[in-house]
Amino acid sequence: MDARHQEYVAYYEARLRNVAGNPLYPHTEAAERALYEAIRTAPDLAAFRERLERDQLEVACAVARVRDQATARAALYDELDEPVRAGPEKAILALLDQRTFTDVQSLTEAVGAIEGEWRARIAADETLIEEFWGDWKILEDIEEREQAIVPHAWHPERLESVAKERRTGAEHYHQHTLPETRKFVPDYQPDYQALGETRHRRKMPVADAIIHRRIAGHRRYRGLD
Amino acid sequence: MPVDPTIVGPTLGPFRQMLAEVQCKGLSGPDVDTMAQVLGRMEALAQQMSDVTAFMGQLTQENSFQQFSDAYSRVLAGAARAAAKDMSDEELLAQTLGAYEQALQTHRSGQSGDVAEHVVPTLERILALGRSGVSYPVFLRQMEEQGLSRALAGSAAATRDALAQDLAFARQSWFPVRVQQAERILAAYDALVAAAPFGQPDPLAFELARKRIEWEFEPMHRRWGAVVDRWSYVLERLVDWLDAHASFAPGDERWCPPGGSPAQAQHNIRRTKECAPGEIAYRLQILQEYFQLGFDDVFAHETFRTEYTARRVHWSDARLALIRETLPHCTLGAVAPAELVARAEQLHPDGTVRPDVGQAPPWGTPIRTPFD
Repeated sequence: MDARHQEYVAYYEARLRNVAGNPLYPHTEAAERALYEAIRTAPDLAAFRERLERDQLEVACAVARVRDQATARAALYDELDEPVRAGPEKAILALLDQRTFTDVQSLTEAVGAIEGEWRARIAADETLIEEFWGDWKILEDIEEREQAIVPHAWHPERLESVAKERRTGAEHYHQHTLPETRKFVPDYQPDYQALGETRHRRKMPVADAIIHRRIAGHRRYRGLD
Repeated sequence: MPVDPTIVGPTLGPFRQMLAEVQCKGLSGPDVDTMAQVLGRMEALAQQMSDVTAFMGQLTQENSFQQFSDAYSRVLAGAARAAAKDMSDEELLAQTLGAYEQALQTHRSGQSGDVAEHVVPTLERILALGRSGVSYPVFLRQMEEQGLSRALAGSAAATRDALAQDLAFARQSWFPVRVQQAERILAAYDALVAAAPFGQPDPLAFELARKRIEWEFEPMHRRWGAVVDRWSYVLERLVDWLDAHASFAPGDERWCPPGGSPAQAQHNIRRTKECAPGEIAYRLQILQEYFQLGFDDVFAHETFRTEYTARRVHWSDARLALIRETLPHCTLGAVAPAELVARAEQLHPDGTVRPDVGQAPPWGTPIRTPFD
């Protein structure tokens, strides 16, 4: 083995050491080990390059790394009960099970396409909770004007302002919020039921009964009921 | 009318540059055609549409950015493969360093935003290593052993300096939940550095650790903000109710907006005097229902104690004391006691707000309130 060959062996060994024994990278470690063994046992660099090309060892390393990354992210999101954020990771794993890649570029493009598609789905999933929680102050203002005990003389003025607030809210939602969201997610529909799911529910630090009351108030504020 | 050119320019500019670069190099083929076709479609949409959001939404739906970038990557990768096929190690090293040099220039020119701050030192180290006389495989090995590959891969996400800055900013801003979060993230980073074979944390491991910590802290951030917003509002309304009885009320902007008539001001003052007690009772009910906090509990609550120490509670100590004394009198149909009104008038306007409001003390200053 000449000096240059030894230098390449040392390089691939360093790559292997970076992932060896790391539980996040079982597939990457196997692929890197195959690469390292290929150069360590090759009679010369020319033979190694031929094998690298023939067995697509570099592509195998890239696929293995993508698989390990998606597996780790999916596991975390499953543990955190974040099924929508786990979606792209599981789609990538399904892709790797279904398709064989012969070049890194195709792999990058396919993964990029999945991530792009899911970015929109994740944004759509998180739109309602952000708008809903952001509107609580207005919902409390409305409730205050309707329920606070004040002299009767003020009731007409207060009820009128509530009606105006709701008209403005509904107009804004139907003429601005919904059309703007649908420019990015054409079939977007707010799913109030989903607000009870862990990923959204945990963002509202109050009791269930309050959330149900606010949902009813928000639907009315937006002119949905 | 086309989409605003001041938006279209920065949006499509990089894509125009990439196509021009490829054409300048004399590269051609189906992937270059795809780049031209996708950019042509983006330019046409910019002309046909007028609404910026609709334009960006259409580009997102058509996946234009991704399609263009994929084709561009294929063009560059193809050209690099063709060039590298018969290259010697020395030529490969020179080509690699050329690419890093180009990347360094791009980052230095400010085109990559905040990322540059973290990437530039790494790129400088890589170039110094490559120019130190080592062979190509030794260069590649040392990239691994010195953690430069990982540093480059993880640099967009974080460096220790950036994480330490996040912590310093959280402390400077006096957001305890953010401080705890930043401390945990920094500790996770340091633990990964200690465990890494070449002293550079694995980007994936750090990404997962950070996501988990941010996920854990998010409800706490929201709760903190929600509690502060609600007691702040109660304090403000109590100030309004008492001040509505004061002699300065008719000229105060709260009741007499610019251009408003004296009659309008009187109507507004009467509304505050008569309605605020019921409204404050409703807000106190909310505070109790949401967070099980009574009015007196607020002043002992960690949110109030921290906000006060951070000098974000803008009422002076005298005014805060007056606020607490006001509540028992703020009932439906009641009139504010003359003695309290006189004190409000005495404090108005300069004695109402604390003089050091907004000037946060150093982090670590003992937490205290005037009611301790």
